Amino acid sequence: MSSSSSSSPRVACIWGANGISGTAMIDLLIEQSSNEWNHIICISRRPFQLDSKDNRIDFISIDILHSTTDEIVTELEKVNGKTITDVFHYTYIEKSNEDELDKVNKILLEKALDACVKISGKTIQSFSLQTGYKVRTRLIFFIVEVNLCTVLWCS
Amino acid sequence: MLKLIYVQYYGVHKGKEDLAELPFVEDAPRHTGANFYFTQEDLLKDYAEKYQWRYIITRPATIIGVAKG
Repeated sequence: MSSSSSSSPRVACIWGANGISGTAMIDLLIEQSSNEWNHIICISRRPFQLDSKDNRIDFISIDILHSTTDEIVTELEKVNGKTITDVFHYTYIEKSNEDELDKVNKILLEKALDACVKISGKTIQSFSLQTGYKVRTRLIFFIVEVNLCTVLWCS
Repeated sequence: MLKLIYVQYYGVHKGKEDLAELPFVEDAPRHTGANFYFTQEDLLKDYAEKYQWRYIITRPATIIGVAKG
């Protein structure tokens, strides 16, 4: 990806913007000048949860799973999403059943892809997908406990 | 809320028989059994080829952080 000063400013679209990775990406982008990134479109099911403030940020709160692609596109149109150049995809829904996990997360990405094609298929240059697995607090406590036990045992 | 993200791509959440070969390397063949990231990867590849986008798929190891809500 070129970041030379001669290239025109980029427009980011972040799916899953309220999460751990989305938040980090927003913070990273707003640190850069508006010559690099002049518009940051954030999408999440939940309303804006972030501490980041920047006039380049537009926030869309929409339930992707239960909205049609056209409904998502309409929201993107409202924030002038026609010039998106770079997409960052971080959405994830947890399901204990493997088939359901596959199905639901495929739908999330598919709707994001279809919406991107409709709104800015020709201006998009790159699409970034992050893989990972979400674990909540209990595992951290488990790790801390194990480490603590090891420390106690060693001493 | 504290959260962890780790490399589900290599099947670390699955039984031993489905785990990718160690050590995990980027160009290793896919592990046996299903993984929704394979579905997503194939989907993204198709769109990227069709619409001539560059694409990148990241596989972070453990990310520890805080998320609200």
